[in-house]
Amino acid sequence: MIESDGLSKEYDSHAAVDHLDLSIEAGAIYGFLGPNGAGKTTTIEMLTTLLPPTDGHATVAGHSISDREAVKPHIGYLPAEPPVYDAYSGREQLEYVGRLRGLDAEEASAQADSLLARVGLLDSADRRIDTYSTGMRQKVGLLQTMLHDPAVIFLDEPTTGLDPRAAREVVDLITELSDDGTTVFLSTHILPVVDEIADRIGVLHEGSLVAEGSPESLKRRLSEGNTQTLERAFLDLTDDDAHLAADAETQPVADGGAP
Amino acid sequence: MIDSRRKLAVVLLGLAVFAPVLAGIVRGAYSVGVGVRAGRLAVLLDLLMWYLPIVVTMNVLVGALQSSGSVLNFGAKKLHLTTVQSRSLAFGLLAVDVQSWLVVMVGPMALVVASYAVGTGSLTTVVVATTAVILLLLTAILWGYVLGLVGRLLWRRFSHIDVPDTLLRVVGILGLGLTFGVGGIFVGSFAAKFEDGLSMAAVVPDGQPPVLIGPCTEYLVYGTPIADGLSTAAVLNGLAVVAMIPLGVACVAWTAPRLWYGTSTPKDTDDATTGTADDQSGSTVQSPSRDWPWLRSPIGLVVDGIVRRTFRTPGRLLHLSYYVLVLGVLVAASLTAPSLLFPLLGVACALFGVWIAGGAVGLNPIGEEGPMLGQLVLSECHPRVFVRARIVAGVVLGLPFVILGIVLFVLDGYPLMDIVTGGTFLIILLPVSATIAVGVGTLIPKSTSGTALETDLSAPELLAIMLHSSASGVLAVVGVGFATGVWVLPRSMVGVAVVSVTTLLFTDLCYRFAVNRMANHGRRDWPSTGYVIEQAIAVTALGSILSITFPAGVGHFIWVLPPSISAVMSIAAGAISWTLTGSVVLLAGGRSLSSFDLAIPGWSDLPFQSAVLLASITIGATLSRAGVPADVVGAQRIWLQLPLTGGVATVGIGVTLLIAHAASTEFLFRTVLQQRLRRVLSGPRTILAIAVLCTAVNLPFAVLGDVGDSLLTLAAFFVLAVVWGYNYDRSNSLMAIVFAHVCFALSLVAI
Repeated sequence: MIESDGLSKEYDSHAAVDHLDLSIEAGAIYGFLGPNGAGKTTTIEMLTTLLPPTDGHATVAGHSISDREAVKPHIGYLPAEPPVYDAYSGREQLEYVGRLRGLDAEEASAQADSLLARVGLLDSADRRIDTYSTGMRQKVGLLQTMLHDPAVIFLDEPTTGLDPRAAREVVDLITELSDDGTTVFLSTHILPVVDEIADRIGVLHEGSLVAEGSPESLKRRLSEGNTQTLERAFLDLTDDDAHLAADAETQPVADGGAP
Repeated sequence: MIDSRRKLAVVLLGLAVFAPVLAGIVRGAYSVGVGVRAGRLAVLLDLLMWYLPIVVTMNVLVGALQSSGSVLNFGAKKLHLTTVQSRSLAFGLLAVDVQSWLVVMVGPMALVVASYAVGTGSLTTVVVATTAVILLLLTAILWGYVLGLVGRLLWRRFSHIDVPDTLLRVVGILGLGLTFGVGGIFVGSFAAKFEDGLSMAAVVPDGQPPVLIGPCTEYLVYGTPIADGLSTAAVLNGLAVVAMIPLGVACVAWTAPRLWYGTSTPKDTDDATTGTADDQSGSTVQSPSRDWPWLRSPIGLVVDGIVRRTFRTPGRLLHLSYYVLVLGVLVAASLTAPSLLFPLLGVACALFGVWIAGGAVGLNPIGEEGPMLGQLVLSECHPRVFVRARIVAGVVLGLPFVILGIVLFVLDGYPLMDIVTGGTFLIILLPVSATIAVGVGTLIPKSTSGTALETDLSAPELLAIMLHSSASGVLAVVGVGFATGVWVLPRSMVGVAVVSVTTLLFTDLCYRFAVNRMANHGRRDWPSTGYVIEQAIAVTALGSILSITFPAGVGHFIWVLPPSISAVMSIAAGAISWTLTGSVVLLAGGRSLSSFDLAIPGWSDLPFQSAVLLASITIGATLSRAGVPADVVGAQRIWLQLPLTGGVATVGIGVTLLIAHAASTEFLFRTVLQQRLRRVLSGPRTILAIAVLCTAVNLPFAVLGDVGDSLLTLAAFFVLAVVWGYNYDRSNSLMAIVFAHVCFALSLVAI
């Protein structure tokens, strides 16, 4: 569903993303991890066609990212800051985006009501968004990525800043999406979330993919029979000193076994 | 205030374009001073005594409006509040705003007063009047600021409604409008009485104005023949003004911290399960299912959304008060001149319509969409839909006012043909104004600070408002003047054609620019070939306009200098205008001045460079020998304007100016435009395109002469531009081109 080959982005000769190779199957939840400034958002913006790469190539839902018109009907994107109009109500926001996504008025209205009910926002649907809590805004932002039933959804830190209940609801929604066959590209710092729901994980460090595999394989890779946590694996993989020392050994991890 | 290179570029360009107007105002003030020195304008003191309180009141109100400036809205608020002592923070933030006032409001007024004072020929007047006006205006703004802060504080103390900022702004704007209105009535009353043939002295009211500040006027004429020294009241007023400055600063330092810890719009602290529509009934929005025909088209849908969101947050429209203020003068003046009631109201309505067509929803398209921009780009609609929607929304909002203005002219009995032509032009101008606004607003976007939850009203940049209102206002006046035949110039058709083509060019450029930025998610990206070509034409036109307006403005400013120095400075201003245009384009495009290509060609390139030099000198000599009129060729124009006496020094100055002229024009055409075009066109096409532009710049001068001479000159320029363009494409050296250009110029004047 998502394939990239040498995808790169440079800013003033600094490589924000450096020859990224990805291959993500349809219906999978792909956890995209990395420290701040690793290039996660840049990668998402390239895959969503919002940012042209300086080198390399990628396809999303079978379409080249250089062809925005072909890609965009198949994707939904929730950036770190939920994109909503404060002056709209939650229902209006969803109806408006639904119409812009090509639904007719009746479809947009029905879809908006259905999604709002799904996350328990129907009672607040006619309130202006500027009165919503962080969690409610996040949910509206997430819902509007689903309006047109896209094949791939890109989520950039969807649970950051949410309280445990709201975060749980968002995580459940993501799982439901995946169960319905939607591919989810999930960029986050919340490691337990990835550990719980991701089918595969990619760890990005300074623009390069330093490890990739299932959560279990990543945990096994760096374990020596001691603590096998994703956090430990993440910290080891993104630690500059350790990373340099083990540079020669760094390579993608095959599922089911440590290198 | 000017916090980006792009804004700086726009300000510099604006100053250069409006240099003659600014210079005219300064020179006019100087003339008034000369009149005072001659004792002719004794009535000035009485006039100023009535006028000064109005100016001071206006500044107080502006200060009150500005009181939500830096002191209340500053970045990293929580960091500052927890790390800096409150009083120090208040002083520092106030200093930031004072700096803005000095540049925007006090500075220009002080310059005008200083110019007047120089005209009086009295050093005492220069010092006293300039100091007095600076202190008076600063005090007025500062105390307006204090009043605004205290008003907010009182509102918060005694009201349960958390909308003080918007409300106080509205009250302040109404007050300011009222003051403008009073000023308009004042001016209008003079106009009405002058119509009756009365002298200025006869129309000045008797006695003193019923306000305390009036005697301060005596400081403005102190030391001139029309002054009798300072009265006791003036001295007391002066002392009070000076004393009010530290007092005002102390008030700000006391008030501001009490506002920093205020409340904000209540938001749910819990999740959806705890908030119901009943709890927030005031924020409930009913969205009945609508099936209006226009909602079926993408543009209609987006227009509907833009208009609805705008009217739901009326604070977004508060910046329209600037237009109301300006037009308030016309409205108020019409009340005092009944014979002009309908025409003045008609002009005010029509101009308001033209302005808000762009100003209401077009001046900050990127900033208003904010984080939604990415979603719009990823929607099924092409980005041009969102740009067109803002243009259509602007036309929809502005059209009723323009029609009302036309109706008022009909009611006044104006000739039908003039109304039809003028009205048609104004209606056509609506989308033009809207498109220019979208372009300007995209060039100077204003994004809201803070996180999404702290998002405030995202009014456009003041600079964008000024730029758009100036451009559309000038177009309205000039266009209606030509359309109705009010202005019948000897070359009126040429004037109409120039205005039309220039307008179309810049409007289309604005549209393409906005669509390009929208499509690229607000980022800079490499645009299309057509866009770059059009931009190159516009930049060339801009350079030509500046090369006329800026030297004219400089000439006005330095009229008191000896003619020789004045001529040199005017010619230097011409060179500066080309350099300024090029620099501004570089800055606005995000490129640095490191784009200068000062490399010197190597020895291996010597034969080719020699051939280029030989060709340049030969063409220059040929033109010179052919007797082409001197006013056609730039180098000769420069040479002839100089008061050359044959001395080494004057010849040196002349040569230096020729070098400056060559370097500045080639910098624009090679470093800026040729490099830019080369990225989207092949080498030969770029060279030809630049050659056409270089030739076109000289077209206005060439058409003044004989047809044969003109064709010869233009052909020579075209050939030279091709040769130099090829040389630049080959060597990438600006130095080589400038050297060839200078040799050509010298061969013109020397042979």
